[in-house]
Amino acid sequence: MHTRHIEYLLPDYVTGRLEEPLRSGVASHLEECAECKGELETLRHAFQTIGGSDLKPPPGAYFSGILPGVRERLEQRKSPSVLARPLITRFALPLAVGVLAFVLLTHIPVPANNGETAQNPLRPVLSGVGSEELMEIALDQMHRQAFSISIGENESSAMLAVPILSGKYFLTDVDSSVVWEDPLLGDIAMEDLETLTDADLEVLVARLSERTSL
Amino acid sequence: MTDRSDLELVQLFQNGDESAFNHLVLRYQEKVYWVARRFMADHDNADDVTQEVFIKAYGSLNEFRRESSVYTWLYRITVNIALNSLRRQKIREAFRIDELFDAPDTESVAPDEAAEKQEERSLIENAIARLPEKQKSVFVLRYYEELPYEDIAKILKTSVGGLKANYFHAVKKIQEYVRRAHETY
Repeated sequence: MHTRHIEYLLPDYVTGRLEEPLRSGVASHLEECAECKGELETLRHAFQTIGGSDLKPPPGAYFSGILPGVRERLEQRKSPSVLARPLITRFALPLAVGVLAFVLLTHIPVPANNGETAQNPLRPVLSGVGSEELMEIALDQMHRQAFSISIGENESSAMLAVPILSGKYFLTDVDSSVVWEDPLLGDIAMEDLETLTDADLEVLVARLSERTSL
Repeated sequence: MTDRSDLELVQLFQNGDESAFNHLVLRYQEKVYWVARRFMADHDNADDVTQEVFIKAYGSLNEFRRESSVYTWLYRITVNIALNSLRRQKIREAFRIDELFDAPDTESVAPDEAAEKQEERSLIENAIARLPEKQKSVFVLRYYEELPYEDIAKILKTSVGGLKANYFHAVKKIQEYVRRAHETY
């Protein structure tokens, strides 16, 4: 077997989870390969360290409270959906999104305007986050704001675009025929978020800065 | 009903028996919690993830089609929700508008040996927290949950081949992180 292949088997070998005939194969290889033997010792030491990392158990009666907690939240979610609400209430959603956009944009750090290329702290985070996740975060943040408008769970899943990135608001889960677009930030579509390049992010950050200064 | 198999419970639920869901929760709540805890590091966040997993499971159970076992399905939901939650935490840190809401960990510092053990535990937790998502998932599921690679592959929707490499690199990174931390102090 190739050394590289053996290396990948070593964690299971060390922890006794490697089954025959692979276990014997690795053992034979170790007898004649100093490199892998050294790796084995390193991993053995690593697992000794990790092995002593037991987590603190949860509070005493915690597990007996999970089911009641889940049931309670399920009951809360059985409240009428957005479609069953009066029309005026349904308009609260886009309004809330607008408020949210304002709140978020005013909290985004503006890059330094002194000729230097400032590293936006959002860059490493944004590049690894999808639009739906951002939507969840945005909603979560909105719920935490004192002036947020109460929005039910069904409506939460209805909002699929986060204004700070896409500038487009989709109400697809509520009614797939309803698509309200407000291209504040141009043509960076939500479906492209996960594949944003550094250049895209440069453009995005620049637009966010402009937006923030409004 | 406790002697029913997972699939029987799913079938009962799909036929309208709500109590079957309760049995699934009771059967898997500890496993789900501990997986969540490994990802989230602290109890409160792990609790949020655990609750969310079962709420999500409740909403999707009618669509469960037996293409996977219930436990790999629940693990998949747990991993997805935990990773999403971690991403949300990162975003919040970036926006920094949650500082007023997030109370610091007030766990008291134990003396001597206990303190050392706690410190070592924190080091490992930090090391795991810094792993890339894939490596973190593989490490938690393989090392702590002792799942076979075949099941992990189903949970993470990936091939078995790369999992072993991910596991290997995860262990190496954790060890390297701990080594550097010890050198620093």
